[in-house]
Formats: sequence, structure tokens, C-alpha cells
Amino acid sequence: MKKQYRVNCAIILLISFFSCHAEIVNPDIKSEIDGILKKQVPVYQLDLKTNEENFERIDSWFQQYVDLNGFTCTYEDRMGPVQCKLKLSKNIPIISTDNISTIIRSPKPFNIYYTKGPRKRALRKALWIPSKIERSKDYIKQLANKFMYQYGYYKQTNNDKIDKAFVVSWRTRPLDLNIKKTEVSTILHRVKFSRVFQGLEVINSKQIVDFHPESLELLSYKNISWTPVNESSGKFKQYLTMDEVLSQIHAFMKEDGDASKIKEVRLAWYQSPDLIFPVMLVKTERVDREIEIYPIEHALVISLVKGLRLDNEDYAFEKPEK
Amino acid sequence: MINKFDSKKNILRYPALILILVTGVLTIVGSNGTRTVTIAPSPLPPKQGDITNVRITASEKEELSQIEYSVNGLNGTRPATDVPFDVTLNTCKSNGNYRTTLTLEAEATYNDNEVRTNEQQYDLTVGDNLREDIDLDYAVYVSKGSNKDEEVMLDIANRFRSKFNSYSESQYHWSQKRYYKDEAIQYANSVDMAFSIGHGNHHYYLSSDGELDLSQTEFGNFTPCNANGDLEYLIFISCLTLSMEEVSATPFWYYWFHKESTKFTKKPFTGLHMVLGFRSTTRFNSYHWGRWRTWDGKNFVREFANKINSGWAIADAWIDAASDELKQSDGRNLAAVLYLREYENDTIFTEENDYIYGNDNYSSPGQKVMVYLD
Repeated sequence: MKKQYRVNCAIILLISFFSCHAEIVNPDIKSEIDGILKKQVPVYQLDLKTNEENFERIDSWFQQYVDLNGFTCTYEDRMGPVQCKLKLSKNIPIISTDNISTIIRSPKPFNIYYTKGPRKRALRKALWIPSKIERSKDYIKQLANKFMYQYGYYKQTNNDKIDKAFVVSWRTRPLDLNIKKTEVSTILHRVKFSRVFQGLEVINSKQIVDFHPESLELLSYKNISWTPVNESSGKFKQYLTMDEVLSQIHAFMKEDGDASKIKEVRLAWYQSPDLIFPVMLVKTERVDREIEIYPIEHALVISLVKGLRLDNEDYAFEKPEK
Repeated sequence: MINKFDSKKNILRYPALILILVTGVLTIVGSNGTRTVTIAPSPLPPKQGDITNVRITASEKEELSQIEYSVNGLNGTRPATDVPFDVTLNTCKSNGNYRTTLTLEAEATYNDNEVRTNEQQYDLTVGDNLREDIDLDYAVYVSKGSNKDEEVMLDIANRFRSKFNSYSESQYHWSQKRYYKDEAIQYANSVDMAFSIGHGNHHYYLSSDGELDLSQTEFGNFTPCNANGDLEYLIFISCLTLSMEEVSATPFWYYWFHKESTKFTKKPFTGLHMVLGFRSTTRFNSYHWGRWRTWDGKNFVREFANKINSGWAIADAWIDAASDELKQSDGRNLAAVLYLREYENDTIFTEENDYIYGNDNYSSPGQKVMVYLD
């Protein structure tokens, strides 16, 4: 009798588990997840030697403009990036294209920053000279593309390519309490390049190029988690099962109840310090219409390879006491 | 024969003579022009929001007849027997009362009809940095929420705490509305930087115990009455808190800064230097590993902390870290910073005075600025 009761309970639990999954993950989405899991892709090692060569080229290029020896540097931590800073009183334009028109003169000294990390190079001139001139996104993308292909800090392969360019601008606006619509100026136009490997996005790789809107001089170049892949190193590792994936999605979405639904699931890559491995991106959208206080939204990223997590950062995790 | 006054050694033999000579000289000078009337406000330098004590005194009290005084138009006369005396002036703002200057005048009349005067004027719209707490510290407030939300927010908060090492952490609490309102002087307004994470909306932040209308708060050196607030940098990792949308034809910045018609009420910029937040909704990539975590949200605060630790301008560091580490391609994660232009290049090591409405650094055209991702 007791055994029968346990079996019944187990059946009820299983039914409720799968019925919850069924509510959150509709058959179409489930079918897409199934397709992603069946298309098993390998895990690749990064090509750290080529990356070092790329970084040396970036360092040499940058050295042409500013003497790196003059920088004051601080170490984030023992293994982390080195953050370097130099104050300049005169702007030396980094001319990345033929299109430069005027040289921006800074009325006061400004900082130039250079970050060197194992998977990162980031140059940035903190030159805030807002301009009323506004360039079109297409034009800025063209300039950025030209820079990326002309200087070639990253050698593309048939499998590993620069993908979309997205433009985000830094604006500034004085707020005069007597004028509702004050004039907007632009500090810089930023182009963020995404990366595809074997036709799939590498979700945390990016190269960034900033231009001054007026002079069109280069204000930043950043190469973040965009390490070449050793394409012959692919190894198939044990994937998560369908139930394990559904369980994560269920746990992720159950608290939202009917407030959100899955908008998209897709396969992508994530670059860790040493590897590039497959992940599943689960994008949700809110469907409750009358939100008064907006929650921070989340997109779920599931590492499809057992035992591989998305970062290995360790630090004290504490809850407030009161 | 030895001259008694030729050597130092001999001078020291006659201390009584020296004392008589010095006293005589002082008496002559005093009765011929060193009579003084002194006005000493406390605390110093005064600012709006003080209960200012003004001590008035005069030299040669035995020769003094009376002192007439005026403290911001409050006039009076006191006989010599009352000297020194104190006059107290409340410079806290209240309905119809918004003091921007402190004018002190005193006139001492002596028995021989000699009159000595003293006048001083102070700008009460400047909160001298020296009046603030000298400790450089910060607070982290996290809103309670559902399990996933809360763990992701704690993940971000803890990453910031682990990386920001330029100030000392004095508070790490679940957020409460009172920390920003009635008890702000013990909480958000007692530190130099307050880092809050939770849900949000246009000029709102959702603390653990409910919605907080930030337009009804005030931070900085001038508040509360008879105390010295400390807050310079108010940070919100939340959706839309710095939304730039007009609300019923009201520009967004009316919720943050004072103007003539609101100067008697509360607004966040009451000495505050900067608000850092987002003008759009925010979205972070989350994953589960033992608990809910986020890699891009964490990278964002790590980079922000690293940049300000290494001396980046705070506004620049916020916008740069957000646009480096978070995705803006779907119209989310549009970081923004609202500030007075005076503080545009400030690093967390910069020491600056605070300003309120009425000061040129606050009220003149072009002094209030929003920088944002678009």
C-alpha cells in the first residue's frame, strides 16, 4: 500500500513537471530546442599564439601615436588586465581613414587609456568635445569597416568572421529649465562589431571603434574576448539532455508566471578564457501590458556542454544581513 | 664695566621690566585703533540648512557702551554687559524661506564715542567640501525580489563590492524607502556613493518595501536641516530611472533639479553631484550555476569599478562600461548620467563643493547636463 502511494506520488510529480514545461515551452519551441540539441557542435581551443601576435600588432600600431612607456598603470588583480593612463595636453589625432577633416583641439588636458589583458586590448581617448555635427549610421559603419579591414588586427577565416555592425552614439544635452527641447550634441559615434563562428554568433566577442563626429578621428579601438580559434582542435563533449535544458528554462521562467513568454531560442557560441563552446540563447519577452515598475529583464544563456560554466570568476557572494 | 643691556643673558635677568614695557605698548596701540568688533558664525563656512550661531563680541569691553547688530535683517542692540552674545539664525529652507546669503553686521559704540564696525557676507548656496564627513565610503542597497531576480541582483552587487576598492564599504543592506527619505542622513546621504539595484521606472526605484518616488528625495551637503549630508554619486542599476520621456508635458529633469517654483520642496539635487542610471529598460544575460548569475551585468559593474578605481571620470566610466559590456541593439541598456557641468570631469578622488539652486553652477543656463547612449 505504502509502495503504491509512493508510485502514485512520483507519477503525479512527473505529470506536473512535464505539464509545467508544456505550459512554458510550447511545442514549436520544444521542437527548436530538440533541433539545437541534435545538432551537436564541438568545443574548440582558442589559438592563444595567434592572439598574442594580433595583440603585438595592436600594441605596435598604438605605439606609433603615443609612447606606452609614459603611462601610469594599475593592475586589476594578479591575473587581470593592466589599466594604463596618460594625461595629454595636446591631441594627437589617430587618423584611421582618409576622411579626417579637422583636428579636434582640446581646451584642457585629457586622459588616454590603454588596457592590456589576456583577452583584451582597449585604447580610448577620453576626449569629450561635443559637436553639433551628426553623421549617418551608414557612413559611420563604412568608416569602421574600412578601419577594420585596412588595419587587419584580426585575420578572418572562412569560419570566423566579423558580422554585424551596430552604431550607438554618445549624446549630451544641456537641460535648461526654461526650454523643453534643448539642443543635442554628439560626443562620439561608436560601432560595435559582433562575430560569427561557423555561422553562429559568439555572444561575448566584440570589437569596438569610436569616431569623433566632426573630425572623424579615431577615439577608441577595443578588442574584447575575440580570440582566434584553433579550428583543428574541435572535440565533442557531453551535451545537456532535453530534460536538463527544459528544467533550466522552467526554473528561469516560472517566477514570471504569465508575464513573459519565450520569443526565441537559438544556438550560439561563448568564448571563455581558453575555449569556445556552444550555448543556447533563450530570449523572452514580457506580455503583461500594464507594468508600473519595470523589472530588470533577463535573457537566459544555457551552456550546452556539461561542466562548462559561462565564467569562472570567484568572489565572495553575500546577502545583506538586514 | 659691563653694559647691563648689551647681552641676551642680561635681558633675561629683568623679566618684570620687559612685561611692563610690552603691556604699555599694547595699551597705547589698543586705545588708538585696535578696538575691534568681531562676528563669528558657526558652523563655518555657513551654508543653507544650518542653524547658524553668530557670536558677536568686542574688545575693551570695559570701555564699551553697546553693540548694534544685524543678522540677515534681524536687528538688535545689546548693552556692554551682554557682550559677548549669540544670535541664532535658522537658514533651513521652508515654505517662503530660501536663504542664499548670510549678511552679518555689527557696530560697537565705545564710551568715548568711538565706533567700530564689522560686516561679513557669506554665500549660502555653496556647501564647502570641508563641512562633509572626511571618510570616503559607499553603500550598496539591493531590492528583495523573486529568487532569480534577487540572485542576479546580488551577483551584480557582489561583483561591484569585490572590485570597487577606492572607498570603504560602510553599508550593505536590503533597500528600504527610509534609507533615501526620512533616515537618509544615516543611510544614503551619509556616504559618498550609494549604489542601488532593483526594478525601476521614470524617476522611480523599487526598494524592498515599495516604490520610491525619487523626485521627493534630497541628497547632498545642504540636507537635512542642521546636519551635513555627504552623498555625491547616486547610482541606480534599474530600468528607466533616468528616462528622458516627458510626463504630461513635464520635462524629465524637472523631477531631479530645482527651479524657482520648486525651490522650497524636495528634489534630489540638493548638493548632489551626479545620478548614474539607465534611460531605457535593462536586460542582462543570466545563467544558472549553483544559483542564478549574470555574466554581462557583472562585467559591466566590474569594468565600471576598475575604471573609476584607476581614475577615469565617473560619467565617462559609466557610459563606456555600459556600452562596452551590455547590448544596446534592441533598444535596452541605454546608460545615462545626469549631473551639474561643474562635475563633468570628476573622478572619485576629486574633492568639490556642493551647490544648490541659486548658485551660478546650478542655475545658470547650460549647467545641468544629461549624457546618454542613443
